[in-house]
Order: sequence, then C-alpha cells, then structure tokens
Amino acid sequence: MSDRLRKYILVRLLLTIPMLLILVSIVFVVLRVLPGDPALAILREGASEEQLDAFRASMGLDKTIPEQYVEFLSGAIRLDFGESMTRDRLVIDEIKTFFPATVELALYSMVVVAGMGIISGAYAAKNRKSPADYTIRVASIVLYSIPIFWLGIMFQMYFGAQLGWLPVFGRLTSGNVPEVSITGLYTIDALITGDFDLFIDAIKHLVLPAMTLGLVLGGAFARLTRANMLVVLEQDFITAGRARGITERALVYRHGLRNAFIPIITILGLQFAALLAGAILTETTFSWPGLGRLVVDRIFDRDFTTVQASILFFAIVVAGINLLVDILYGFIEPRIRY
Amino acid sequence: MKKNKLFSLLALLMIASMVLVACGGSDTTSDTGSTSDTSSDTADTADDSADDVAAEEAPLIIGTTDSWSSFESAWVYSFHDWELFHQCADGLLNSVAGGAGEVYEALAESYEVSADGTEYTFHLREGVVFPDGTAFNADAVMFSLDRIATIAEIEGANADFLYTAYTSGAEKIDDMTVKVTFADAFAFAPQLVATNPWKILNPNQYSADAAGTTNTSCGIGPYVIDSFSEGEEAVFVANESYYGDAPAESTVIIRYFADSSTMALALQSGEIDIAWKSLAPGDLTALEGAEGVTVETQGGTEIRYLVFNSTTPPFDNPDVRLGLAMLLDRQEIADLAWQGIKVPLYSMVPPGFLGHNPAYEGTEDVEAAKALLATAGIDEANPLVMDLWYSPTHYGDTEPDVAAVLKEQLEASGVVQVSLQFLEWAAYRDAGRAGEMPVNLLGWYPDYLDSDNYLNPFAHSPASWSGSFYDNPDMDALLDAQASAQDEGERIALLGDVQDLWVTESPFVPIGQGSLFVAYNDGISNVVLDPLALFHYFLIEKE
Amino acid sequence: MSKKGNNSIDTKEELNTTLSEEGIGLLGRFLRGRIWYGAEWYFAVAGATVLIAILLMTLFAPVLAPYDPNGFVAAPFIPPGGGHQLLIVRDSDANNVNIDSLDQQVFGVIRNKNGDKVARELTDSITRYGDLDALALALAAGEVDFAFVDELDESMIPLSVNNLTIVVRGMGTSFPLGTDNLGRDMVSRVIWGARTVMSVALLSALFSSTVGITLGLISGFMSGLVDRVLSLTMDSLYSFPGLLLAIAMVAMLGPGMINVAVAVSVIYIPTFFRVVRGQVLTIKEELYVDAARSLGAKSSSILLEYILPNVIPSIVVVFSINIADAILTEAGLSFIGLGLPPDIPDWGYDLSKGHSFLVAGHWWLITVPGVLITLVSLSFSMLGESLSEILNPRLSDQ
Repeated sequence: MSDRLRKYILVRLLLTIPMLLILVSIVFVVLRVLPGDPALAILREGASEEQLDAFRASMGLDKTIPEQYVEFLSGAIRLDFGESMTRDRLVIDEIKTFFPATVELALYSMVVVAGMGIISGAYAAKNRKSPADYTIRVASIVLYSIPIFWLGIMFQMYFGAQLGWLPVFGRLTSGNVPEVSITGLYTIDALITGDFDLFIDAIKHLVLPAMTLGLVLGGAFARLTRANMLVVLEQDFITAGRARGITERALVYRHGLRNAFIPIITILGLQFAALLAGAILTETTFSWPGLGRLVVDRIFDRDFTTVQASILFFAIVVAGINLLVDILYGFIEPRIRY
Repeated sequence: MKKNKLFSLLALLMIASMVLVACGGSDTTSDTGSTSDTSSDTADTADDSADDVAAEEAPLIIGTTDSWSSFESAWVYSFHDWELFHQCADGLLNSVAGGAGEVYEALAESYEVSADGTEYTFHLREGVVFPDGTAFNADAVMFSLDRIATIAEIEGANADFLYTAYTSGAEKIDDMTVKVTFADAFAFAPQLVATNPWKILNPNQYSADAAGTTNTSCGIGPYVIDSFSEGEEAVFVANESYYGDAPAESTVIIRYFADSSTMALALQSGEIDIAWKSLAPGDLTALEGAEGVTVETQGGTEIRYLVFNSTTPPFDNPDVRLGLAMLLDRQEIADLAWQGIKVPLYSMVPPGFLGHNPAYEGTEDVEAAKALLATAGIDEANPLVMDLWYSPTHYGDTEPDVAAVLKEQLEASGVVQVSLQFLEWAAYRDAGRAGEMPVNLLGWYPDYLDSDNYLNPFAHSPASWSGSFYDNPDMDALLDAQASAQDEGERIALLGDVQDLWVTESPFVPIGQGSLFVAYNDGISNVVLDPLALFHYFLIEKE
Repeated sequence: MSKKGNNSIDTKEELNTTLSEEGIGLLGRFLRGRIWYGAEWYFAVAGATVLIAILLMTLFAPVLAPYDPNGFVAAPFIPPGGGHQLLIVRDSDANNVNIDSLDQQVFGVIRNKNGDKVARELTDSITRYGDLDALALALAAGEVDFAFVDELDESMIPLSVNNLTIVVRGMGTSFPLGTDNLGRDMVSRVIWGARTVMSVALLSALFSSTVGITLGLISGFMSGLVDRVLSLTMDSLYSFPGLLLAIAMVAMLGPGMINVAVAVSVIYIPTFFRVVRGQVLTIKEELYVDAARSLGAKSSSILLEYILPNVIPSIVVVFSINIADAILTEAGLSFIGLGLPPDIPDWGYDLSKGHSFLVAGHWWLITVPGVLITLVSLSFSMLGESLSEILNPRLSDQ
C-alpha cells in the first residue's frame, strides 16, 4: 500500500468520526424534541403521577438535556448504550439480536440489485436505442416507482398463498431457529456448521423479501449503471478496442464493465442507505425481525436509548460501507488525487 | 480476472465486518436467570426430550401480531406477556377457560374466607414440584408475593398494583398454608388472585431483587418455555412434571407477525395453524371465505369509548356531552368502520357482566340531540366547532375510519363541525393526560373481570389518567357503594344507578365492544375463546 | 424524416439549420425535437402528458369529481363498474310495474349492499336481508314486492326457481372505479387526492431544492471550513435511512400536510447539495469564470450569472426524481400510520388502507392509487431522465 493511499484511508477514517458525531447529535436532539412522554407511552393507562416520576428517574430522564447528552456520548464511546427503556435489556443486546436479520436481508437484496443492475444496465448500454434498451429503461423506472409494500404483498399472495411455492413470512420455518448462532445470519451459520437443511430453509425464506427489496432498488441501479456504461463506452479506448477487432461482447462485459466498475461500486455503496430505508417497509411486510422494524416500533414507544443506538449503528454501517468503497476505489484507481 | 477477484474481496470484507459486528453470538435458548446452574442442565434435558417427542408430532403453530416485552410477571402489564406466562405458570387460583371470570383452585387445593371477607387462607396442593425439581410450598408462594413490591420499586410501578393496592399483606402459616389479607372485602378478590402478578415463581430461578425480564423459567404450568427468540418465535414444550392434565399438544410454537394480512396469508398457506390476535376486518373477510379455514368469534371484553375533558368548555356541560352522544349511530360505526369486528355498546359495562344496564340504548336520536344541544346554545346559527382526536395505529388501522364515520355522524346534524386530529400513541397519551384533547377516542381492556373495573377507573375522581378530570361526588358515592356492597342484589341495583347517572352525565361515552376472533385450519379443534382474551394453548388439539 | 445512424451527419446539419432558423416558432422547434432526440423525445412527452393530465385534475378537481371524496355515497366495497341495481319482481307482477309509484312500495335489499342506498332514495319502507338467497325467498313469498340486487351479481340470482323477473336494469349510479371501505367514490378520491399528492410532493421538492441548492452553491463556491462542515453534515444526513428521518420528523412536528412535506423534504436536501456542489466545483475552474473574476465581478454575481445557469440542468433531473421519491415516501409514512388524516383525500392513505383489504379480494382499493402513484412517479422520472439526456448532450446520437 502506498503512502498516499495509507494517508488517504486515515483521512477518510478521521472524517467519519465527526460525521457520526453530527448524526448522533441530530438524532439525539430530534428524539428529545419529540412530543410524548416516554413514561406515559410505556407504563399502563392508569399509572399515577408518582409511578411516572419514579419511572422517569430510573431512566435518567429527569436530568437536564445537556447532562443526558454527555451521558449518552460518554457511553457511546465505550460502546455502552445503556438499557432499553421499554425492555429490561441492554441496548447492545437488542441490536445484536435484530441486526443480523437486516444484514442478511440487505446482503441478498444487494445480490439481486447488483445482478439485475449490472446485467440489464450493461445490456441496455450495449444495445442502445434498441427496443430492448427502451423496455429495460421503462421497466427499471416502473420497478423503482412501485411502492415496496404493494409489490411485497402481491408476491406473498401469488407465490405464497396461491402457488404455495415460497413461505410468506419470517426467516425460518417454525421451530428451526438454531440453538447457537455464530454470525446471526442463518445462511452463513448453516454453511459454517454444515447444516444443509437450515441453509435451504433460510434461503427459501429470503427469496421473496430479497426479491421485493432488490427489484425496487435494482430498478434505480440499472438506470445508473446504464448511464455510467454509456459514458465509458464512449471513450476512446473502447473505440480503439473495437478497431483492434475485440468482440462487442468482450468490450462491454470485460473492458467496459470493469471501468464502469468504480462508479458502480460507489453507487452500490450509496444504495446501502436506501437499502436500509427500504428494509423498514420490507421487514414489516414480511414480518422479518430486523433492526429497521425494531427502530420504527421503538420510535413509537419513545424508547430513546434503543432508537439512538440503532440509528447510530445504521450510520456506522453505511459509513463503513462507504469507507470500504472508497478504499477499494483507492486500490483500483491509483490516479485519484485527494 | 480482476473483476471476479474484486467481487470476492468485497464479499469477504462484508462478511468479515458482519462477523465482527454480530460476534459474541447470542444463545437463543433459555436464559434461565443468574441464580442457578442446575436449571440450565434441566433445560438441556428438556430440549433433548422435547426433540424426541417433537419428532413424532408436528408442533402446533400459532401466529400473533402482538409482541413480547418482558417475562417479569411482577411488572409486566400487557396482554401478550400475560398470555405467554399463562401457559407455563399457574397461580393459587386460575381463571376457568372460557368462563366469565370464574376461577378454580390451581396451586391452592382449597381456600377459606374469613367472616369479614378480608382474609383468605390458601391450602397449597401437595406433591407439586417446579420443572427443575424444586418443591412447591409456602416458601415459594411467599417468595413470589413478597418480591412484587421490591420489583416495583426497582422497575417502576406497573402491574404490581394488582397485588399491592388491594392487599395489606401475606403470611406463611405453615409449610403448606398461606394467608393473604385484603384491604377490604372485595367481591372480586378471587379474580385478583388469578391475575398475572400473583403467579407462583421458582425461588431458585427467579431473583427476589432483580427483574427477570429475559428469564424463561416461568413457574409451574402445563408447558415450559423451551426457547425464545424475540420477534421470531417462542417454543413451548410439555411440562413432564405437571400436576394437572397434560397439554393436548406437546409442542406449541408462537410466531410473531408485523402485519395481520401476512398472518392471514400464512394461515392460508399452512405456515401457521392458528391466527390469533389480531385479525383486521379485511383478513376476516378473506378467511371467512377461504376453504379449510374456520373462523370463530365471541364477545370480548374490550371496550371503545369517547373521552370528554370535563373541565374544558363547552364539554363541561353534561347536556353538551349527552347531546353529542345522542348523535351517534353505533350500528353504523360497527358496520362501516369496524366491519363487524366490534359490536355496538350501550354501557361502559359490557353485557354479561354483573349489573349490565344498557342505559344508552334508545338514546340515539338526532332530533332530540339537537333539541338538547339547543338548550346549551348550540344550533345551526351557532354550531359547535370541535376537534376529534384519535391515535392512528394503537387500536388497529381501523381507527381513522372510526374517526371519519364519527365525524360524518356528528356533522350530519348540521349543528356540529368536526376537525379530525391525530397523534401517534406516545404523544397522544401525553396530550390526553395534560387535558389537551377535549374529545378523544380511547379503549380499555379490563384488568380483572368485574363490572367495577369498567366504571371506577374512569368516573371516580380525580379521573386524571384519562384526561377527563370528571369530578362528581354523587358518582363517587355510588361507585364506592357498589364496590363494597356485600349483597349481590344490592350491588346490582347500585350498578344500575351508576349506569343511569352515567347517561345523564356522559363523562365517557361507550361506542363499541370488541369481539374476539380466531381463525384456524382444518384439523385443529378445541379452541376455547376466553372473555379475558387469554388463549389456552394447552387445550388445543391438532390432528 | 431521416433514418437513424445512416445519414447522421446530414441529418445533424440539416437540423442544426432547421432548429436555429428564424421564424420557426416554439411549436415548430418542439416538433422537430422529435427527430433530433428520437425516443428521448417520446419519453419526455409521455411523461409531460401524464403530468399535465394530473395537473388538470388538480386544478379542476371540484368540477371533475362526481362526488364529495369524503362522503359515504354508496355501499362499501363496490367493485369498479358496479353500483347499478337490478329491479326484480315476481313473475306475476312483471307486466304491471309502475316506475313512477315506486315510492309507495315495499322494498327488499341486502344489508350493506348498494341496493340499500338506492332504495333509501326512493322509499322508507325497506326490509333488509342477510344475503341473496334470503332476499329471493322473501320476494317469492310476498314479504316484499320489489327487490334491488347488484347488477354484477346477476348470474347468482335464483330467478327461475323462485319465479322472479328482472324488470329494470341500470337503476342507481355506477362507480367506474368502485368504492372504498367506507363507501366513498374512488374516482372522486383519486381526483381530489391528486391535489394532496402534488401539493405535498411539490412543496417538499421546492423546499429541499431551495435549501439544498443554496447550501450547495455556498459550499462549493466558498470552500474551506464552511465547505468542510456543510459537507460533513450533509454526509451524515445522507447516511440516514430516509424513511426513518421522515418518521422522526413527522412524529416531532405533528400531523398535517405542511409538516409531512417538510419531513419528506429533509431527506433530499443532501442530494441537491451534492449535485450542485459538485457542479460548482467543476465550473469554478472554468476559464470564463476566471475571466469574470479578473474583470472584478462580485462573487454573488458570478454565482448567480455564471454558475447557477450551468447548474440548472442537473437540478432539473434531481428535482423530478425527488418528486417521484417524495410521493413514495409519503405513501410509506401512511403505511406506518403517520400520513394524513382520513378527511384529506390522499393516494398514500388509500394505498395503505387498500393494503389491508387486498387479501379479502377487494383489489381495486390498493390497485387504483397504486397504479396512479406508480404512474406519476414514473412520469416524473421519465421526464427527468429524458430532460437530462436532452440537456446534457454529451452522448451523441451515434
């Protein structure tokens, strides 16, 4: 690794920290400004004032906001996010419970997105202005414009209830939750432990949700890939290659795609934030026990601690992915100056 | 090729980061509390035998859209948690399945009530053990009851009032006898004993001074909890050492849904056997027409009602409150907005309860309402301009429809103009307590099955938690009188008076009563619907 | 019209002359654009047409909509095209039916079906039955003299068995798009809903673009610390899952159309910011800007006169995609229960309502708003993309 690259990575890493800080602060402020006393939301209807006060005290809500902020930050640095306000559990445990589900969904959705996007985008770029190109373009935009939960329930009704090919909800068939989880991603765990049945069960349950999320985002991605591919294919080296007799197919899929790869990877990284956003609706539709759904539920419950930590977590992941992407960028493209 | 290598590198990096992130793993099987090691061994053996048994029979799978919050019975106050606990823990007394509040002797073989009605002496059942082998005796009972107050202090008060607010103490008489002293001669004392905080816990597996939120050891019941994965499933297996009848199915799995349409689809696709709470009207329509699915219904104990802030003009005038109540057409609301999942309700006390008096029946009269409102100065020239508040998701997604229908009904009179306002639940509660929502929609599930629980918490001063602030000494007097009336006839008369006064005053206006719905596939039988909305997994049979 | 790809050079020269000729009006240029831009032109026009139609719907809603979108005008769950009633009598009465004196007759209807509403307009003496068979039997037995049955149910009426005849068809009104779960007309809800959707989407797009563009211009132009801080803040916002941010903002601000618009708009500010900032950075280095600066032009005038006009093409694209996304985000908010109250007709609200009834077979409740939302989103995206291809002609028509 060159010095410059090392320095570049360091700078990017350092820049991430203030970014996360700003994000977390925004979240903190927004949550505190939210109307609605958490004590009222959490305790039963007939609770008395003393009971509410006691609850607030036990949650540290009776301190001033700056005090709470400092407490939160100092805890966050130590990765101690405290206890959930609606469950008597450590927030970090809650995140550990639910996050792997979202990761698994995101992972397989990305596979769909990337596959769909790259193939259709590259194909469309190569056969530009052909009917296939236009069809793919329109189809991409249509897919991107469909509300996710509509697509989801239609898949469920057709492939699940009517044809009976695929399960309509959850990550596994009832009773199949493995006793010990390693990564929390059932497909990976199954591969590690060599449990083929578990693998198949998990994959079956992943198909519909990943297809739903993947197709919708894949639509956007296909358009972007196409646009980038067009730029690349215009370039001189492609014309030169064509002159040298390299086949169109090789030009597009080998040379073109490889060079479009950088912006494509960047876009994939950026899509991750959109993926997590889309995951919320997908997780609700398919009763997928993931972090997106947890955050939404807990916002309604005013479970500040869990929501703060979860959003921070999301942001770290997105920032991490972006960082990875930029590092890869640095590897592939030595011409980058920063 | 570079592209492939990069792809693999990327994939590996992603996986690596995820491994790091989720590292540490989580053991999804029982977390049996910190106080004992032997319990985990027993749990493992239970797993093994459960696997053997389960291999022979397919598990019974029940779907629900509720969610779990805690296994700490001394604190938790939500339906689903009570239901889970009900399958694996008995109390001294238990509710009769499908009964209207009747209780039967469970862990207490018998009991006597003192002459003045305040002292209950329970004779405990002999020869009963907890699943881990610990003996059941008075020490276990005292442990379970004494810790309630302590837990309430630590966790904040919640369900503990069902014990601490009504009793003055419990004492161990001897190894198999416990005496509980109530603060007054409550007619509904046995019902209280059957509530969740009174369930008997294992002293070796629960702590006296720390909440057992994730403690799945439960108590003594037909089932034990084999494993629990939050948001995914809860697995129950038969309790080998249970003193009572063995459950019909040896393995029951609860699956959690985020969305009721998916649950209905899952029932149709066979991924679950039973769809329990809560099915929406659309789902019921779909399932009622579906082949191989049975839908059962029964009157429930949930009530829906309007709340008036009795201190905010013009709603401080009972005539205005009653006038608005008279503009309602409860049948239309039930048909259109609730599509039949709730039925019209003409008193805060639902039918079937002691002293039920449908006092609002016959009051639905638009012309008479307008006349009454006119006496309060409201007419077409001077209409009542008001906000109607509701919370869009807490009571199911039919709530906006309920609000819309109410608005149409009120405005059809020509003397009211309604503006619909909503807040999501947390903010809604806040505003309600602060009295910022002069007219709003609320719901109520009873804590214990007695008419008192439908009247007292509402209309007795200071009536602050509901945002009503209704304060009427006459009403207070009547409510107090009926709560301690010893003679049933006398009590019924008093309750009738309360409900009659209720109409005149209308501090709260009952609108609908929820029905219970359950849908299940062919091959399932003996599904008992309980007014308390407790589901009895151990009774259900599957072919 | 020339063929693509063959006489490209001729075509271009020809068109270059044609497009820039004096005397060719706007319409002429517009039509000639079809030749030059090819399919992009069709896309853009298609998108624009749909949007103009929506705009007309928005403007003329009170005139176009047949009913009050909030009024319970008919029975719930009338399928598209349904609503019309058949008037049925006993065979023996078939020849002496007097349409004008129906108000004195006794009617039988099926509970909660549209026949009920239609009958109510005619008479007060109505008997309600649970289902078609019960009604048929009652009519045959003489309990009632007339019956209303939905036209769509015609095939299920046991006519011959009970000696019944259909004497009049098409009574009452029909509803082209059916009715929703409260009996509200879908056509009216769609037309009025266009207003809400467009208002929210446009409001939010305007808000995000104004804030995003301004900040982007400042940040790109000024560089330094301001740029660093703003970029960081925008990056943080960008890495926020959009829907979550909207949820938090709506929960914070409370319900209402403006609040929803603001909540949705916050998500897209970073996108505008990034695009504009990127453009500014590039253009800043251009010679003509240097020239202007050396001539003593003020920063603000450089920004407004040189940089902003060049930034506009990219903005247009982002703007249109922004609107498309805003519509979907609002639908997502409604799905979770944080959208608008039910007395404001809104496609997002209808979409999420329809979701609960899809399994019951009432497909039109979700399909009608769903198709419309998709269509409008699609049109904005198509318009935006085509405009981007047209306005950024770095991709020549080879």
